[in-house]
Amino acid sequence: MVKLTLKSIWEQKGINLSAVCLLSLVFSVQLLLCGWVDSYLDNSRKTLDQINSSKLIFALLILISVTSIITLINYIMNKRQGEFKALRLCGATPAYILICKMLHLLVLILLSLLGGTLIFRVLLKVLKQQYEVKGLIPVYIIFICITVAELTVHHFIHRKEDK
Amino acid sequence: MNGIIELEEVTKVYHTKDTPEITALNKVNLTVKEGEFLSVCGVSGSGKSTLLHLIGCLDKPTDGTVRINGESTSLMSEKELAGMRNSKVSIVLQDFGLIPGRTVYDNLVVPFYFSSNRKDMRKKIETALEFTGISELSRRPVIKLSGGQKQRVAIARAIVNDNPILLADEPTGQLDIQTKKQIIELFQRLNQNGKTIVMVTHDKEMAEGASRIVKIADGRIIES
Repeated sequence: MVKLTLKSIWEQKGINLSAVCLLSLVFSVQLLLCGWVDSYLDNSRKTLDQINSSKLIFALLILISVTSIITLINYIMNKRQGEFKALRLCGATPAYILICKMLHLLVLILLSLLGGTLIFRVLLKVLKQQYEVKGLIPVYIIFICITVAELTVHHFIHRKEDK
Repeated sequence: MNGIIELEEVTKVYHTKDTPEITALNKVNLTVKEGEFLSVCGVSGSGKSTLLHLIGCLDKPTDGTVRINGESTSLMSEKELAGMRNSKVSIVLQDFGLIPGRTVYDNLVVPFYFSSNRKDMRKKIETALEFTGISELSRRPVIKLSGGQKQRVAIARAIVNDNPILLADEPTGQLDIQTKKQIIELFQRLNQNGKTIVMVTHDKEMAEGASRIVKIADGRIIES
């Protein structure tokens, strides 16, 4: 029975691949943000006010990143509800379905973390070597991008629910 | 009075956090004889889907008894209920309940993963596909099929294990008139082959395709 679950996880190429890519991107952006803000805090400790405002930005960015990841995972799991429903109709117990969900989630997060770290390293190298990125401006841009992405995902979820 | 499906004084109450208790079914009595084709008619929110979920072993009653083939589901464990869904009752839903990314054949294999009887699986799948008229679609992903074709796949999956009871929750709700007729004809053929069918619908025309109609309103059976 577990064979079916793993098989279904690997064979759901469409949604899984896009889900992993999306999550990887969010993870990598989160890592980038952490790195940027952290180095900014280290390099610019001039006044107490500056440190406090930077910490606030840092906290906000982490919050946004975490909610983005949760939203994405929620979206992906919603997408797979059909599969879980099909298993239940065919005779799967709730415990079995829970294991399926957990396995799926675990594989998704592990792959995304791996992908995220890879993207992060490449992005960081490119940004540092090619463009010599400094300051918080790119962080603000990415902050806006994540918010827009999150709102888009929300829009998709609600549109699907309305249908 | 013995039937393949028996409901005695069945009550189902839903408890939710924000809203007061909802009594979806209120002391319902119903008997479905073996080989019968029954339509349960009612407006949205009348309790017809709850009734089907209880018969389909997807849920347990708050009070009363639901008996399938003489076995009471009230005292069954989740594992036993899952076993009933695999070997006694099959369910066809309005939204098909299929695995969209998989092929038609793969979808028909799923019931066998939870069954101890996998003998002649391939042959049984081929027979179900042939009966529902979708043999040529067996290697196609479900996501690429039309609504009518998806419903045929759902019906094929429901009959592949040869369960004696077939339940259908608004099976023609998403289909055009022509396809609706074809699906009803398919149910009638299955009934002629000995399947006991309970179909829940708000569509009067569809309900008339059954051999008996039961009307439900506000969680009670008002006309039988």
